[in-house]
Amino acid sequence: MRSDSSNPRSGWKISAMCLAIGALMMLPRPGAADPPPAAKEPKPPCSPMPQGAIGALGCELQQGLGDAPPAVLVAAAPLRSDRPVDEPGRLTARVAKVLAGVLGKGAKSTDEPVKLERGRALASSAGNLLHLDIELKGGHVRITADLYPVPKGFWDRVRDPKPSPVRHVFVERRIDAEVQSFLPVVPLVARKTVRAKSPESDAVALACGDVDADGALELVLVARRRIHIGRIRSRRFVSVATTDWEKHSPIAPSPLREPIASVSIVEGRHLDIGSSDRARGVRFAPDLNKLGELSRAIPWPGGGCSKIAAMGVEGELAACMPTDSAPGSRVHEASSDAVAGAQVSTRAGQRILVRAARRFDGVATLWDEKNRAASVPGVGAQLAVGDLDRDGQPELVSGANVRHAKSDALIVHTWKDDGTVFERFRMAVPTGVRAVAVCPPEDHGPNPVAIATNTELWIVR
Amino acid sequence: MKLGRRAWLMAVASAAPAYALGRTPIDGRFTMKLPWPVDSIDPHSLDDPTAALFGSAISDPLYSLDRTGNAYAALAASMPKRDGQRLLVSLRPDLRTARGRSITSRDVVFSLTRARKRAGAGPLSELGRFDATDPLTVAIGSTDAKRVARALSSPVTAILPSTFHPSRPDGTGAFSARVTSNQLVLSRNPNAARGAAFLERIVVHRASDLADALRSFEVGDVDIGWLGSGLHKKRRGAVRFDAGAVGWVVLATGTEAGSWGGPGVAQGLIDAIPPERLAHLKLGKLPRARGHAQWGGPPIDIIVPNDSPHLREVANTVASVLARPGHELRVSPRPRNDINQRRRSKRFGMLVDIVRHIGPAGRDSWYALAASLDPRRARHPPELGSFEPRRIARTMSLGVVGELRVSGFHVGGIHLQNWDLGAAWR
Repeated sequence: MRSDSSNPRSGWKISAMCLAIGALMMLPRPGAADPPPAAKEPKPPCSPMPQGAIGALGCELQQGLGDAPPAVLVAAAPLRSDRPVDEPGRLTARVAKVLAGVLGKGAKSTDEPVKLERGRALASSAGNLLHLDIELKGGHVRITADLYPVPKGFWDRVRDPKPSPVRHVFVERRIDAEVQSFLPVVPLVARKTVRAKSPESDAVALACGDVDADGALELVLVARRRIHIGRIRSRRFVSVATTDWEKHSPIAPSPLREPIASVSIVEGRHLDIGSSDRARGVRFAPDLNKLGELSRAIPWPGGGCSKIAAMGVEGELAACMPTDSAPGSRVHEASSDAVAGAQVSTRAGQRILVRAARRFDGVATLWDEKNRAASVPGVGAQLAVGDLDRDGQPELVSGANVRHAKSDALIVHTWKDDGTVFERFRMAVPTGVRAVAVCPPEDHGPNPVAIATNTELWIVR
Repeated sequence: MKLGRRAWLMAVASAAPAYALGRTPIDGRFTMKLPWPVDSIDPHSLDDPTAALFGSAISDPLYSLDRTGNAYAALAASMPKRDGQRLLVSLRPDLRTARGRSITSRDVVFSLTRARKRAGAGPLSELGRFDATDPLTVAIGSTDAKRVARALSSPVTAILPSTFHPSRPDGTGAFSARVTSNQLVLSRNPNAARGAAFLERIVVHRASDLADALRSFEVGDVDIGWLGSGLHKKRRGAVRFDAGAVGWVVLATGTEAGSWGGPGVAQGLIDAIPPERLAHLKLGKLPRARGHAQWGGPPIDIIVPNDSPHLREVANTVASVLARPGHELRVSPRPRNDINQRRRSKRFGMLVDIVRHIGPAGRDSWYALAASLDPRRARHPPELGSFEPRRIARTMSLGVVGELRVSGFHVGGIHLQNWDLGAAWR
């Protein structure tokens, strides 16, 4: 038998064999050096650190929507708000624009606030509509986003003229300076002071924030023996969690005669608490279960820890725990007896870390990541930093540098963009300021300030 | 026993509250000149005036008493815990003295054993053995936790390192101490177990007599005027202070006094001295005179430590009031070693010395006065209706002349908190 290449049937057979051999050769061999397909890494959380609330909301919406279809039209409904807004259309347009930018893949936005029907009409050529319902309420920006397919053809419109949303996402953030720039100016006046009996008469530090990320604010009250997390309800401090220092850290071998203490909250994750009374600081879960130990250090609100020296807090800043990322700035004043810090949003939507430390002579130094610095004399030994009126210019909140409680006061200084510092507000606290904290915004007024006095907790709104 | 809230607060930082106003300035210093020796400090000594004045600044006991007399943990980690027929006292970890020595249970046993042979004889007499069971635990042969904590709260049971020597004092107090023959320097102790002092330094010079101390204040050489505001005239701007008594000035009688050395005689003689004759010595409030202030025994010496000008002046005054022809009293200043030997053997006529307060007024007064005569006697206090020192002294061969008071004047700007020098500031 001989082969006959002119036979079309035998030619087909040869071609098929060659293809099969080729295909076999191209198949991956078991144990070959090809790397296994990489596991799909979870997307990083949308940290509020580098960006303001609008940027963070855009990031969260994008993550919530997953792989959005290309060429989406992002349109926002008319703004709903519990307060008057100067130009509501500008705010909704800004949010829509940021989200369209984050989505990419040809996504566009419309500046016009539109209801859903109008949005469908506008998106008829795009094919998909992402409709945003933006609401300002209780100091938060809340966005509900629904992704609607838009029927393209005639018969599609006949079959389902108003298709239901195929994806739905809800996100919220607290109002920051960028959002506030669309709102009327917040007057820095105390409208109301709520007083509650303090569970401890020897508070050494106070913090305020959404510790467990449940949307409600909590106070963290650190006393010399105990730590409380709780809320003020009907003029009473209601403890949510309490623990004794003794269970977590022994008395320091050489405590300071006048204790220095601080709390740093990372919302929803943990809180770091340090006191010069104690041999070690402690990292707690939001329910006050111990997560780990810090060294003998004072945690800075805003990140980082400084060691406790013979008479005060050392100048160098370091990560509180080995697993933490390094703090933004490394060194502050040579030695201080009170520390504070906070992330503050600028009106442009940038978030910057502002820190403050007090020297023993009662002069506080403010500095930020842009290497700006300012001094504030006559400051008491409890500090807090925040943007009370959300104008992008941070406030230093402190007690007075006096020896007797009767003369004590809550003092608020504003560090202006031009570098100057001036006193904005002063309120007598004749029972003495033992600890102070700035809370996140609750409503359209200034951020509340929490004060621990000898016998009471005050919330100045 | 659970550590009380108030007790804990007191324990952590002495008397310093956690004021969140301005903080207490921490760089001050001041000087003073005292008519007392400054060349050594022994917190366990009953007759050491330097320890009476500065012992609490350089050392701490295991427990302390709050204003209501309840004990709270100071160097101890907690109140004593029952363990069968004994009590376990735990020490706070990582304690260090001013000279950097670690304090462990061995130092506690050393200190309590040493104190029991000295000024702590009374308060510690009812406690059994002290045994170090581990580096941070001492077992004490007693089952009464309250009584043990109270006994261990006396300043004369302070915890010292086992290398302690009075001329090289060391402890866990707010200050470290350096002594020379004529100067005591207290410097802030960064290792202080209950908080370092606010003041950077206190320098104490030795005065040659009461006038020297007052003169130095009057001319502005020092910042504290001991017992007065100046020798000739009041220093301008001087502020009065009175931090109370830290001991008693006593007159003891020995075997050389013959039948006049019996119990009650010395107190009877002192009670007869008109208070105005002793007023310039600033010995506190003195009772009205009653009886005859006349020595009827043989001519004898009143011995007095030669390093204490204040006591010498007391002895001179007492001698001038009580002596009469044929019954002379001659003041004889002697080295403290000689005084201590004579006190032990009772071979003296009269002795003027001090006895430190070792606790709150009451039973501790009896312990202190009894131990000053013989530590072995200071064991079982009698049931007395009153523990007022002069009444106690009538049962002993000594008399209480007056109080060793911490009082005088200081320049403006100094803040003395009841002679708690750790909390003082300028």
